[in-house]
Amino acid sequence: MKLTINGKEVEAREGTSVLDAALDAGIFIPHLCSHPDLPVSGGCSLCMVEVDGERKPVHACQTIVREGMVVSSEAPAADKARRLAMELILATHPADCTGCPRFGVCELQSMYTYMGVSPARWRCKSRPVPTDASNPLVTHMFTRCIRCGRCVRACRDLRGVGILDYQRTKDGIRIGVNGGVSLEEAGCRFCGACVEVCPTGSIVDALTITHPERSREDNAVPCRTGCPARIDIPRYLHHIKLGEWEKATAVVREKVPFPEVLGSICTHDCQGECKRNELHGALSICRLKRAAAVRDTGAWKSRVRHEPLTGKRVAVVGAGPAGLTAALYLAEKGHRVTLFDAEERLGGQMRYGIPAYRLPDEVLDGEIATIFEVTQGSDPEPRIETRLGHRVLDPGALLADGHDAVLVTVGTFDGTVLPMAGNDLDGVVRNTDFLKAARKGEAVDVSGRVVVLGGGNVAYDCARTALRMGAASVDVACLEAVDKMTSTAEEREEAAEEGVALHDAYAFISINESEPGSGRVGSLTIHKIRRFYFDEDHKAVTELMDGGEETLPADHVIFAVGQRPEDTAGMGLELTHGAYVAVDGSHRTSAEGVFAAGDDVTGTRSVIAAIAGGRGAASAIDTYLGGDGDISEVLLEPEPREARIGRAERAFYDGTTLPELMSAEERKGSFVPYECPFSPDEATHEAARCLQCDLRLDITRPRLWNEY
Amino acid sequence: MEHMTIVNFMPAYAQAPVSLRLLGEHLDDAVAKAEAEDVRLLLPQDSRLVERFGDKAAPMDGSIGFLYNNNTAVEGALKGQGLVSTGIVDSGAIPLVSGESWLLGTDSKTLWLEGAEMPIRLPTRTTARAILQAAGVTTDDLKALYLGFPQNMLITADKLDRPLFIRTDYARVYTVDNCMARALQEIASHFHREACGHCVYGYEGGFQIESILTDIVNKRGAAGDLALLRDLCPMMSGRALCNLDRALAHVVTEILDHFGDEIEAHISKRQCPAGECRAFMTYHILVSRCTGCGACMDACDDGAIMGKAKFVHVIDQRACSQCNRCLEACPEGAVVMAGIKKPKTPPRPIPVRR
Repeated sequence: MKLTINGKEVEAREGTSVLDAALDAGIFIPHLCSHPDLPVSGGCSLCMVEVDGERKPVHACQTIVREGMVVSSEAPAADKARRLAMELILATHPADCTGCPRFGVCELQSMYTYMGVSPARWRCKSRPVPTDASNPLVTHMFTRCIRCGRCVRACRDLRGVGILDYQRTKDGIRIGVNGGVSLEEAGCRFCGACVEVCPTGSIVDALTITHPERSREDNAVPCRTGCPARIDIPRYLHHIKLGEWEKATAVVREKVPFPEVLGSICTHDCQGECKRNELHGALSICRLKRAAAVRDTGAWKSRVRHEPLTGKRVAVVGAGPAGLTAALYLAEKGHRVTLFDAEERLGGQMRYGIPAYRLPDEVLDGEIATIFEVTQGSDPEPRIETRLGHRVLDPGALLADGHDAVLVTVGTFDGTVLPMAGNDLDGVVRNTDFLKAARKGEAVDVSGRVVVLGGGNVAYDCARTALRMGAASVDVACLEAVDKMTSTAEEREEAAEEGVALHDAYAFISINESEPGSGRVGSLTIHKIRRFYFDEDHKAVTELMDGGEETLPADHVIFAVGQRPEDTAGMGLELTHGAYVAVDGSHRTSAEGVFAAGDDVTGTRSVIAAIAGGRGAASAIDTYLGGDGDISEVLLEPEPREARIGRAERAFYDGTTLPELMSAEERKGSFVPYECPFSPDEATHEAARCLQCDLRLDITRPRLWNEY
Repeated sequence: MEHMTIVNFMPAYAQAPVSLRLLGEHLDDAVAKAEAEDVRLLLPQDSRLVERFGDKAAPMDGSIGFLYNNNTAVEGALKGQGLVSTGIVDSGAIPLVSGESWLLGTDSKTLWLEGAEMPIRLPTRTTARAILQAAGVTTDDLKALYLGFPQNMLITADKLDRPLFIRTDYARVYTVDNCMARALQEIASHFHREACGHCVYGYEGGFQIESILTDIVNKRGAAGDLALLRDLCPMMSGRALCNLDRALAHVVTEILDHFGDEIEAHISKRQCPAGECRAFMTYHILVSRCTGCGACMDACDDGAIMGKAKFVHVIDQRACSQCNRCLEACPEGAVVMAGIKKPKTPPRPIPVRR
């Protein structure tokens, strides 16, 4: 139907309110208690309008449109009522906006700025309510509350939780949790809807989870933000909660081709970001991914991108996670790929850097085979061709050899040996050589006492591998104090259970001969340090502790203090920080047509970071070859989710579900994976702990007046 | 819920539990009647009557009373939500009737006067004079009769014979000794305590009315305060979402119309014409009673009392902060408070005559 608002004729559907009709038509009428997703309230009285034929101004939000209606929001009586209402609101609202976390994005601030209203003629007195930061994730600062009731309606009508309401206190009415209990006791889902709809700074995300430098979306769903490949974590956890393994895996596969590998070995930065770290432990996101992947049926395969062949050829040098990922997406975009690797088998660090008890060959082989399967599709021949046992030293030559682009993803296979006395003795091994040999099944002598130097996850991989290969004892020594070590706490605990001793905060002094002139390792001298830091010249400084010198008996010393790219020095590419390949934002190296990604660019990171790099490089190369660079996939149509999540059961607040492990005694003698995937019950229970932080992004964000 | 009726036994005023008292008097009949009808009875949760009505009883928070008169609020409360009114009284879907009319019909009405031990019962259509007669109140020093929420009617002494319908449980008599600024402040603060906080005009409007009136009776009123009230009330009576705060705006307007000068005197003349507002009272030491003992001087923290032994003490009004300690300290009852009429006292201490 047609009506006239402020002299402009607008169309509106029957049953809409005058306010919505105006806003839809781009005519701004001030409003605060109204929210597009919530039932009408009418409490704020800012949306007053004059309607022809009515004696007094009416609430636009409560007035339904009629054919031929003539409405004015600018009529003097409506304007007066609106301004007075705003004066009354401001009279009891704290006057100082600058200290408020919502400064600049506050709807109230925007609205009174627009209206140019001051409460000065009234009794101005804000109502002091102590800030309540006792709840995790959500902070209540009700001194700023204007009682619009949006949070009450969001909690009750949008979410079906209904724990917030107007509360009668001796100091007046304020919003609060029913029964005066904590959010957890009340059954809160911590979905954040209340935070999302609050038009002031009264209900806000706790400061501990708020990063001012991040966007609203990134702050709201920190797990996804923390994932280098931006896997849509809440979406797949939702499917796992429902036991929909193949749908969950499809969601994971929209971003990465290695769900089960990642589910087994990912560094899971997502879990560090999970808001439930503040509420009885992070979601076990990584293990849930594995739980879904092991039950996948591959239904997603029919939906993968399979563009016609372009006639272009790309050489990928290095078949690790970055190279394999790039090969997949390049092939999907219609390019033929030649995949080179110096080793005899595909996988890079996934195969030669990660011990088999973490990631057995079958898992890796399965997911690599899938890459070849889906990229070939119904083509008569594979789009990805492999050249194994072929070390590429000159990528430029590949361009001359009929490739249109080259991607260098050689990783970091050159283990670092520290410049210290005795580093060349018999019995001193590099991490990279040691792990690779172990994985290839080569005979490596680790009999006797082993000391691993280094504090990262690779050091622990070496330590636990040595244990499994028959070492009598294994010690780990590192420069960092335990709380600064880069290995995960879980890794250290499991290793300790297996008998690995840790010496943290020690400087390495010397590796000593067993007997003078023997040429063999006999012991290692280390020295306890008070602290270490980098001075202004980025030089490491260690402060030794008096009398802190110790000598550990050792038959073997393994250096696990870092690793660098192996072959990049001779590739004719511009390098940085030593052996790392310099690239621009589009993965381009200094040589035309040569791209690089993965650890050889970023330094040794993680499989997931390498995959993210491989994706970026594939997109960049496709663009370079004349494509659109779009490698995105929809392997599962997004499904509408229930927004009414209801009040939480007690089990919702359970701690993180732990997987079943083999006993330390059993696992330390074997390379069989010692951790069982979650059972279906464990997985659905754990996934149901997810706060579904992304649900709040479905809530419409009201436009501020300057957006009209 | 379609044909259900809600019957309200919650006292609007705690001191005038009319329907509840009648329920006690007609309990057996009421139990049978409730059994036979599709009703829910709103009863104070701590009332022993709750169990007599089983699931027909809806136990409610008795610390407030006005909102049980609003069916949108009551419907929400029956669903387990807070007592928040989302619209004016007749907008609810379920009929809401008073306990008294459900029990005894609407021909007569029970009214409880402030301070009375017993309510009185009169024909619903009556006059203020008839009410006062029935209550045994003389009209000689009457200023006004106030019929409380939800009627909110103020009847001044000159309109006692106008016919009216009683639509409230509660009434209060104001005499020449009552200050109408204070009366209005008390009414406003009662209304504000009852408000649900849901709408800006109701809650924030009520807050401003209460704050301004509290300032006025405490000698902190400012020129322009009555104009603010005059500006606010008409807006509030049309804009507040429910009858409660619309009623407050109406009462403020009525009392300002009839007693505006008396209230204005608190601001412009710095006096309370009725002599009731404490802040406007002054303390005086009566020459006839003072023995010059010095007890009041010892009690005064302001050093506002002049005098010495055997001399009548005198209070310096400019230094006095009306703390009341001298009055409490005086063993002779010589210190008195005075409103508009001040006792004669010497300007400085004089020898005690007694």
